[in-house]
Amino acid sequence: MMIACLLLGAAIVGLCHLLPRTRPGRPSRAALLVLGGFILAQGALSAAISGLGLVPKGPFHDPLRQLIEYDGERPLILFIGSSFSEAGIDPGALAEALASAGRSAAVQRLAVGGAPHLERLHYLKEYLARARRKPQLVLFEIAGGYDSGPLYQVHEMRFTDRMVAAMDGSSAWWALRWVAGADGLSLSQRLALASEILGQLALHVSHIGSFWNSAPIGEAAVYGPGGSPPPMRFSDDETAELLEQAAAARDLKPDWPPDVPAPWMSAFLAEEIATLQHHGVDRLAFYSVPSMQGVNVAYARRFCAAMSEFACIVGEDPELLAGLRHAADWCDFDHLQGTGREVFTRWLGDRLVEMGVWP
Amino acid sequence: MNFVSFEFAAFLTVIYVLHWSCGHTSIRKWLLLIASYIFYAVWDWRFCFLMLFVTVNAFAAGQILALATRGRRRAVLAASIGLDLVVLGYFKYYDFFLSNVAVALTDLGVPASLQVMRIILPVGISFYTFHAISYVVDVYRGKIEPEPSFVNIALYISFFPQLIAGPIVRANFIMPQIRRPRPFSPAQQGIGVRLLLRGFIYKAVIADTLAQIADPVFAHVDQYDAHALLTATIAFYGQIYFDFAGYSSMAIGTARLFGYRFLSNFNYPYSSSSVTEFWRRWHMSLSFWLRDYLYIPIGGSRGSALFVCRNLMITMLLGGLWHGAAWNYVIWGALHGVGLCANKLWREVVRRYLPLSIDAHGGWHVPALVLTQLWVMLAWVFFRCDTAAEATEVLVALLGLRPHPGAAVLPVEGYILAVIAIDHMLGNARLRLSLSPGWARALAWSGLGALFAVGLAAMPIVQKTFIYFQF
Repeated sequence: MMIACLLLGAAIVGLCHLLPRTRPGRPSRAALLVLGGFILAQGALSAAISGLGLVPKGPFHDPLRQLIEYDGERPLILFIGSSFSEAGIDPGALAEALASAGRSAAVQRLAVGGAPHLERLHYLKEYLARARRKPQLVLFEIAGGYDSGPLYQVHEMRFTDRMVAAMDGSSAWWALRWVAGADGLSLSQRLALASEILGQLALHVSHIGSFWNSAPIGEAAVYGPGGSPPPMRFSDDETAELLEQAAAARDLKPDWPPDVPAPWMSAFLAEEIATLQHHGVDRLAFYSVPSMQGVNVAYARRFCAAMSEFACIVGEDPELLAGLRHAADWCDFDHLQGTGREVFTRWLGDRLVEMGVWP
Repeated sequence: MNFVSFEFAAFLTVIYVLHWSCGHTSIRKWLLLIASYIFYAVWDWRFCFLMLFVTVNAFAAGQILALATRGRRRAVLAASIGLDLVVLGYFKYYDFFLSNVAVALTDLGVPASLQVMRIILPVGISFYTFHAISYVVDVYRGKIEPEPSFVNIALYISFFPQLIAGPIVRANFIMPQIRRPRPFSPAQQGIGVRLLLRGFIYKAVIADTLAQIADPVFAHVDQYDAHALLTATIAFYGQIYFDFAGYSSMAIGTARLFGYRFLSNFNYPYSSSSVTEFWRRWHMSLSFWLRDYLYIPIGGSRGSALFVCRNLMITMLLGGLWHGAAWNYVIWGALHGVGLCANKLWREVVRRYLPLSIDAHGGWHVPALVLTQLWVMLAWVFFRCDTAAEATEVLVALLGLRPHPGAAVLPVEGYILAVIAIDHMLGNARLRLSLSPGWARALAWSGLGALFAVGLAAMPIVQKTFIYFQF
């Protein structure tokens, strides 16, 4: 790739040097020809790149392909979320737990570390548009950090292969609305964010830079059971104490919006629900993964209280927390691992049945 | 604001449309001036006041010089240049000076607690202070009349295409253009677009690709083997040329779009067969500035060989320091000073004692070219590394003086040199395709547009800041 780019650059520069000077009085003709060649080549390239799927394969690629190709007998339950769900839910174990309760289902996740809501909705739409079998039940993750500031993660991931891939017209429209409605941003910050969004939309549409997977998100956030060693170590006592404090917490983070869900989140949820309904998926629910941070637990509690018309599962049941009091269950404050993951997955399966979410 | 960014594309489009929509020259100048300050304020608005201060200093000095008696003119000149150098020295060199004094005192056993202030280096300060000095000196020398319009001076110093990283435009060259109305000329616009596109390809496709080879290696010199260090050194040799020449081309092209003509800043420097020739082709606006405002005033070439070498060394050491307040830049300047002196002395020896012809087309050309470029490349190692110690480690490994085991990288040095060679040979030869049938010309021009589209697809998405922004 590198060599090809160097040679391509040399070819363009060489041609620039060799092309004849424009004749006096006729520069506009040359400019039109250059523009015409550019438009034709750009169109051909975009068509070829889209048609042949030559876009960078980000972390959503594999789960999305699995989902699209699923054509099994069992009805499908889909979890949509971030690394919390990626780390905390074992789809195979959950399917087994449901089967043993006589509620057979295939369980799949569309959950990737660091995925902002925009990215989740983008891939949900792509999945629903191409799926062989639509899901019977969709569960959305509740997480205060992601739900409080829609632009934070989008800005952090700016001009990465993931963000460019997800920034289609619909995503850009949502992001621009958030920029316009965000509190506490100066005009220059709004302009900078808007230009970032439009720039990524332009890259998404034109495939500029598509030959390079130039800014992949690092693979630091590996929370799977076979992943990297836990970055944080707690003692069993510390874990138990943190869980107790989290269960007792009532306050949100000071910089999170006091309204739960925030107005932007309500509008976005409406879009997500409408998308599901458009594809014939009527059954949906919300869940939160256990956390040792009180603000996350408090947020999930408030969210569920506000969304009373939907089934909502907060991972703070005393019985569940009693099973997660070992340090080895946690990768860090918010990510489960090992036995903790198994305990939560089993508990979640029981709740789905008990609450009639998966009857 | 990076030239290779959507922000700049949008900014340029808006200013371009507004500029040519205005009928009045004075409104256009005001527009460009305000746009230039906005361009600068995007980085940090507080330093607009610093640039304004430098501008007021230059303007006032010009006005006073017009009125001052012969005896006082020198004092006015010294005061104005002194103020510019104080500004430059404080923001760019104060911490460097203080930290070195602290080290020296510690070495001498003198207890010292000198706190460095971690002063932010204002972007482009080296360039706009040099513009201001150029104006005052040119007025002093009588090369230009003192400019009565403050807007004209402010526009000369802050004009956004050359504000951040040059080229350093001489007052006596640009002021006449600023004074006169700039007509819209399709031919000039064509040249501007062509320069912009060429600069874009230099930077976005070639330099940023080379950065992906050089940057990881120079970030962890100790982790790579000697061959990888060689590849990275050659990659940086190409990167800095395509980066800075690309920036200059875009700056010159942008100015041309507004009807202003800047002189070239690069003339295929890697085809130079002596360090002297290199400095006539590399960053010409700086080297000629240093020649006219520093080298010649301190004596230039008038005197013995030793005296000339002294002047060359002073000029290049200060030139190195101008690039950055760090010892590796000083060493880089010293290496070029040594190269210039060696060339000077060699010419003297040949002229006096050897019956040889050393003109550019003789048999000497190839070995001289290779030797010169190896020297330039060696000097770039000091320029690129964070410290002189790191640069020494690279050179020791390259020369095979010590084993340097480590990771390897793709050995692409042949390709890099081929890209440089294609650019330099075709550019230098000034060959033009003879496309007589109309369809052949049309095909060639539209082919350029098509290649540009492919170049965009090949452009690494995350752009690197232009290297010369830091100076």
